[in-house]
Parts: sequence; C-alpha cells; structure tokens
Amino acid sequence: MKIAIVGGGVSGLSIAYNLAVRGAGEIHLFEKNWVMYGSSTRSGARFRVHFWTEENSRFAVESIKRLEKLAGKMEWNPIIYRGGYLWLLFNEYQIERFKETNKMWSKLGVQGIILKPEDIRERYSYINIDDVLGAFYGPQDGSLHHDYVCFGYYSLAKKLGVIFHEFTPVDEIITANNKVKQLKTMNGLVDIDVVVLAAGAWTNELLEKMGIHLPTEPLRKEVCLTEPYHHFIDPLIIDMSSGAYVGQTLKGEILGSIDYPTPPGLIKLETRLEFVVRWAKAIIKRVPILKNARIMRTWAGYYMMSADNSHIMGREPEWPEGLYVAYGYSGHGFMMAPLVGELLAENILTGKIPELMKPFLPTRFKENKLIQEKLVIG
Amino acid sequence: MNLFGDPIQGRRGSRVRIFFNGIGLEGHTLEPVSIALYYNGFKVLGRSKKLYRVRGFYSLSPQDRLVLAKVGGEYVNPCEVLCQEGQEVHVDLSLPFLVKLFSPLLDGYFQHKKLVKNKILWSLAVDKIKKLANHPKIGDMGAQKTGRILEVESDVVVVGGGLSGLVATYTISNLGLRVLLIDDSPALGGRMRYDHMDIPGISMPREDLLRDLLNRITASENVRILTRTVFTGLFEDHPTAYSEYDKTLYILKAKAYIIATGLIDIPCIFRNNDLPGVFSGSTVLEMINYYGVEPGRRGLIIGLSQNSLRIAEQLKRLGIDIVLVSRLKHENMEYDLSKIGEYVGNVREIQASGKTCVERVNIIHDSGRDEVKVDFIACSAFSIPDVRILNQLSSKMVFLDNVGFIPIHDEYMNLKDNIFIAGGVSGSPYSILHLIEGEIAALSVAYKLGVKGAEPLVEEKIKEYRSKLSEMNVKWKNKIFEISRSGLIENTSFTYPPTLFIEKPRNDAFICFCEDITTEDISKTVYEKGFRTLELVKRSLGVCTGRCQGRLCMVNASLYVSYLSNLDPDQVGLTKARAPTTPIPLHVLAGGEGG
Repeated sequence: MKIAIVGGGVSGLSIAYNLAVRGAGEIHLFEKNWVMYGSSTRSGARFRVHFWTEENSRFAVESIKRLEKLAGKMEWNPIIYRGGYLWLLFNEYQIERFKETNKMWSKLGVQGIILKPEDIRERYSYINIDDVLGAFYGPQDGSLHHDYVCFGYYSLAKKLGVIFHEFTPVDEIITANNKVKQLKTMNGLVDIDVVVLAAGAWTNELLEKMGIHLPTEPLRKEVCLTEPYHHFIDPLIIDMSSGAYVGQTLKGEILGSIDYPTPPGLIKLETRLEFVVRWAKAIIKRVPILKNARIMRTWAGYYMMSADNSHIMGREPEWPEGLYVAYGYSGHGFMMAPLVGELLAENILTGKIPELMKPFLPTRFKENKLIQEKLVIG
Repeated sequence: MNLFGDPIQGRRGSRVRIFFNGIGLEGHTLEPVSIALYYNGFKVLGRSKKLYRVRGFYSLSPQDRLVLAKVGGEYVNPCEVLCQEGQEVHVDLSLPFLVKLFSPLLDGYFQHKKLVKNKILWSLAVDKIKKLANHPKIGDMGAQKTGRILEVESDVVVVGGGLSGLVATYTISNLGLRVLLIDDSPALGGRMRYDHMDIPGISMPREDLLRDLLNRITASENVRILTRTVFTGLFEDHPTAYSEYDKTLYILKAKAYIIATGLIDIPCIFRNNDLPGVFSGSTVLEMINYYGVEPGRRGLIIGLSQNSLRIAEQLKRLGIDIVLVSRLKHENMEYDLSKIGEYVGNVREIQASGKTCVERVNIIHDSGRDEVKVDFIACSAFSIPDVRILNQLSSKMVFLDNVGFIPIHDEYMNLKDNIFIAGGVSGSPYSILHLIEGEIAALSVAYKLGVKGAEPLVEEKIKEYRSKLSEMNVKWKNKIFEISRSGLIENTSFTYPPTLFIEKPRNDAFICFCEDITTEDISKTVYEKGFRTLELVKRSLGVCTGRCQGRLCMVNASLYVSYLSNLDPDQVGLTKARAPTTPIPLHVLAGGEGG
C-alpha cells in the first residue's frame, strides 16, 4: 500500500511515524515548505488536558501520555514540563462551572484545584488578585518544545523509512471511480492508494477541489515574546476577564497573547502594534512586575478552527475511497496530534474505528453530534 | 542634544564620579557607562547566559544588547546609559556551583536523552534548567522614566543618519516635503561621526561635508530629527520607532520610507572571540575619535580592506601598535601596507587568550605560528548591509561573494511599494555611491509623491549613477537591477566565509553570543542532524533568537552552514526577522500605564 500524507506539521509527522512504526508500507510525506513550516513552528508551545468536553479531555490525557512515552525514544527531547495552567476567575458563575467540570476531570484522573484569592496570593505572589474571585489550577497541564516534538517525530519517521518530499506542494488529489488515485505535484503525478490531508490551515483548498466542505476556517493568532529573565512564572496564567494569557518558557522568555478581533481566512501572518499594546496593558494589570519586561519578538500563526472547536479526523463513508483528514485542531494540535497519529494509523490499516476516535469523525457535522468545546485560549 | 559629531579633545561631557562594584572611578556625562568602565580597566560587564563566560561589549549600538549590567539598580544595556554623578554600577561575576557540569543542560537536545527516560531525573533537570540560565531578575528591570507613545507625522521617514540618509533628508526637504530622520546613535553622521579620515572620491574634507549637511538639515523647517531612536520596524498596522533614552514609542505616519541603515562590521569567528576587548572595527574608531578612549596600546586588526587600513592608520596616529592579519597573501595586493607596522597573511586560525580580556593571540598561518601580545582586537573582515528591517519586510535578498546578502532593488533605489533604500544597506562599497544613492532615493520618493519636476531630475541622477558604477567597476549592481526586473536569481558563487578564522569547529569559537552558540554546536546540527537551512538550524539551536535578534549572528551563521555543507548561501538563506527590531518595555507599549 502506498500512503501519502499532505502536510509536514506535527499532525502529519505524527501520522507518518505511527503508520511507519506499524509497517504500513510505502509512506510519502509532502510538505510545501520545510517540515513544520506552517503553524507548528509558530505554536505557543503549551499543552493541557483540561477541556470543557469529556471527549476532548480524555483524548488529550491519552495523547500527552503517548508523547511522554515517546520522549525517551526520540532523538530530541520534547522538553515536556508540567508547570500547570492557572485560570483566573472573576465571578461565581465561572467558579461554579469549573467546580462542576472538575468532577468530570477527576473521573479522568486529572483533577484540578479550585483556589481562593488568598491561596493564589500565597502561591503566586506576583499576580494582582484585586478583582479576582478565585482560580482553577490544573497541575497536569504544561509546556513542551514544539520544534523538538516535530524534529523528534521527523527523525523517528525518517529512520523508519518515511520518504519526505519537502518544498513540494500538492496541487490536487486526482480520483477515479470514487477512489483516490494520484497526487498532482510540481514534480508530476504520484500514484497513491491512500491520502491523509493534514495540511492545517491549507487543508480546505485541497478538499474543496474535490467538492468536500467541512465547517472550518483559519484564524490568525498573534503572540508576543519578551527578552529572557530569571525563571519565576511556572503556570500558564489565563485571565478570564481580559482574554489574555501569559507564561514563561524554560529559556526564560515571557510568552503570551490576548483575544483580539481578527478577520478569518488565510490573511498574512503579520502582527499588529494594537494587539501588542492591548496585551501589554492586560499583562501589566495582572502581573505588575512585568511592566519592565521588554517585548523582543512577535509572530503569528493560524488556529484552524472547526465549527465546534474540536479536531476532525478520519473520513466520511461517501468520500472517495482512501481519503482521510486530520485537521481543524482549533489551536490544540500539539496536544492532540500524538494520539491522532496513533488512532488514524490503526483506522487506516485495519479499517476499524477506535473508540476514542469516534466522536471526532467528520460526519459529526452532518449528524449534528457536535463536541462544542468552549475552552479555547488565545 | 548635540547633533554634530564634533571632534573632541579628550573625553565627552563633564566629569562625574561613578561607582563600580563599590569602587569609585571617573566617568563623563556624555559617554556610556561601558566606555567609562573600559577606560578604568573594568572590561568585564557580565557573564554569558549558558557557559558563564566573561563578556564585555562588542559594539556600542543599542541594538546589540549582548550584555546587561545593573546600573542605578536596574538591568540595562551599559552601552546605552550615560554616566551620572554618584551612579552605581554592579556586575555579578559569581559562578553557580558546578556550573560547567550543569551548563550542558541548557543545550536543548544534545544532553538530555538519558535524563528524559527517567521522570524523577527529568524533573530535577527542569528545576536546574530554570535556575541555571544567567538572566536578570525581572524585579531588577526597574524604570525611572514613565513610558509614552507619540504619533509623528511626516511625508517621508529616513532611517539612518549616515551620508546617504543625510543627503536624502536634505534633498527631500529641499523639495518641500516633510522628513523625519531617525538614527540610533547619539549624533548624526553615521560613519563620518567617528571615521576622521577624508572620504575617497569626495573632494570636500570630511569635517566640512558633515558640517555642511548638518547645517542645511537643521536649518530646514521641513526636517525633524530623532537621534538615539531605533526604527523598530513595521507592524501590520503601524511602523514604529523606539527611544530608550526618552522611553518613547513613536508611531510613524508617513507616505514613504527610505532605509539607509548602512553596514555592520560583524564579528570574526576565532577561538575565544567572545573575550572582552574584541570589538567591531567601527567601534574601535568610535572609541578613539568620538569618546576619546583608547581600546588599548597594541591591537590586532582582522581583515584586509580599505576599511581596516583606515582603522589601522587612525590607531597608529595615536601611537597604538597594530598587527594586521588576513587570509590574503602578501604578494599581489592592491593595498598599501607601508603605514602598517606588521602584517601577517595567509592566516588560517586565530586563537585569542586572556583571563578577563584579550591578552595574547596565537596566529596560525601557512608558514608557521606566531604569538603576539595585544590588548584588543578589531573585527574588520566583513562589513555587511544591515538588512534586518528589509528582512522583516520579506524583501528578496541575493548573496554576493564578499559583499553579503543584498536586498533586490532597482536603479530608482526602490525596494517595493513605498520603501526605498540608499547607501551601505544596498551593498554599495564606496561613499561616493552612497551620496548619489541618497539623492536618487530622495528624488524617486518625490516623484512617487507627485512632486513636479522630480522625474527628469531622477533620470539624470541615474545616468550619473550608472556611469559612476562602471567607472568604479561595481558591475554587480547592474545585476541586482536586472534581477529586480526579471525576478530571476542566477546561481551565485561562494568561496569562503570572510569572517572564519578556525580550521575546524571549536567549542570556544562563537557564532551567537546571546545564546552562547559555538561553531561546534552548529557543526553538530549540520552533520548529525542534517539541517541545511538557517530556519531549521535556528529552530534546533536557537541561533538568531537572543536579545540581538540575529543582528550579529545571522549572516555568520548562514555562511558557516553554507561552508560546512557546501551549499550556496542563497540555499541556506536567512531567517525571517520580526518586529520589533529592538526590545520595547511593556510599560512603554502600555502608554505609561503601570510605569
């Protein structure tokens, strides 16, 4: 069997590795730029297991376990570090919702802690809690090194014989008798039996050429990074009043972003001063000691948002035979991709749909079985 | 504000007393703290991030930020803060316990493999990583001034107040357009501010030329000048500039931009090239001619060019002994070496040594090995266009051997849309060309903005420019114009990185000073990991991601990767630079809130 994966981000790399490790035959990965060029290398490099829906939380718990296991096998240290997520809450309703959802998280083995303002002050004296009513702390959440995760998958996959075609955009998927047949690339046509579209924000361009529409759209997100300072912020702090988040990388830089209205679509990956100013104001209010931190770099990447803010994996029965997707991560690619790769590889090779994968099939939009993830950050 | 880089007798400003780690010493009000300390023999300004090596300053540019020191209780760039009466400077030179053993933890991927397999070991390692990196504590990043944001409107913004920027500013203002001139230095003039020799090809003495230009500009109502201000680049919504001096962020509103950021003498790559006392060539001139402080009594100049000979000559005039070294042979040289004391050619490897600053240099050349005693080193082997702003704009670049990465522009000095360039940043090697380019860029902008009569003037200037180019035998410029029309880049040639003075990768020859990345680290990435583009090398090692944002390391890193992997520098490429060019404090961005 000849399998093509389109997209060399963390999603495509994880799928390639998982197929290869199961001896799937000839695997080709096509990337239109260098591997991980798209949104993977622009990631904020955090992961969490706390999602509003049980499906997503369970999926993330299992997924991060997979990544941790791989850490010892990879040539690269993915630098997984569970510094926690701290959601600052500003009203009773928010606290109630987190308390309620914490029961579900406990069931999954990732119980968090509800903190009172005085607990917050004791643990994180640098946070201004004047207007804060409480917080939810998820100790199982943390950070990773997005580039090294990709490099890790890449080198494992390469060793297992995956053939990489970098700087090779795929223009079209050619089908015959409702079966995928060939990829059209700048180097000519390539015969294939199976194609997995994992091209993130660029996936729809290929799907639409086949007349397939899934409710997804790219949304540009901007990020700020400061000069490095002595480490003092462990968790990722999410300010539920301003929509800002801030954390510190292991290298010492302060990294963060804030919700800021942006038109959807593949708009240029530039950053706006107005966004930076808004973040600066929100962060100075929340962590006043950061007022003298200096912004050193800004960048942007896409969240590929799906209609229910949850990833899409697998295929619809009516689609041409051999066509699969894995995209629409809605900003959660690094958290979900390790398990997506594993489950999708099993699905492709055995034809069976693993239990954990079932809620995330593309058919859910037609069947109106949405996952409705409401906890999206940034 | 002293806009004139007036020649001085002795030091700059009035005498003050400052304290270094409690020791009283003399400084001057118009010189940066780093200069006063250096003069008094305190050359070490801090330790490096990972390896805790002693570091001084390489250049005085506010954009380099290689080392931060505690001045008046806050961590700042000591090259950016001026001396004040009673000012306390503190440098922590202590070493953490067993730092040599633990510093490899900060390497990223090389040393972690065994640790990661064991959860307990890894969590201990993470704790160590957090504490180990030598960074300032955020609480010490104080600010005495409140930040603010100001909007500045003009027709044209000129970035860089060197020869081409000054000429452009004058020409535009003379045509009735309003110009904002931005320069990151304490005074205008660019290289003319501190290179006191006359300019080849221009009959007017340097001093008169500079004075004449500055007089014309300051007399014009159409010109506004911001010195000590860095053009921080183009965000999607606003172009910006930042002055650390005034803690002010400027939002620029203009119809066109002329980028005239000139050249940077990038560091040479040799063993212990991070020692205090290793400077860029232009910094050495700035020290002697602008600040009246000698870098030492006997120096090594690396590189043989008109530029390095000018540096040597001006040092010699002060009675400073010079040894000049380069890779070129003795014979068949176009340069007059009679004024230079000692020249060593065919140099293959340079090894500096010294405890807290440069003391000796070992020079390995084709016919043996020499040891010379020197107390400073000037890197003058390669002056590259400062293209970071253009890189932010994703403008196309092509590599030319021994010239650098050149932004593709046409003979109107147009880069794209309303962005124009002039002078050293366009790769032009001679001042006389910079002068004409300043005029062309200004006239092209005027034409673009609809100034009557500008068109014939610009066509005439271009004719003059073309004849000057052929007269001076700068053929490659026409090639650049050709590429800007056709979009086709031919294969370029590449012989050897002009800055490279080591025979094999060394763990004490640095490429990136902010992140402590050595030639050995880069060679591991290239050979063991197979990375061949700078974007991937950056992502594996962190080169170009430190405080200077690649200003000093990007081209060196790209050429070193090209050299190791036998590729064209165009294939290895550069990495995309992003706004801001120099770091801006949050309280300034917040417009003074919380400041």
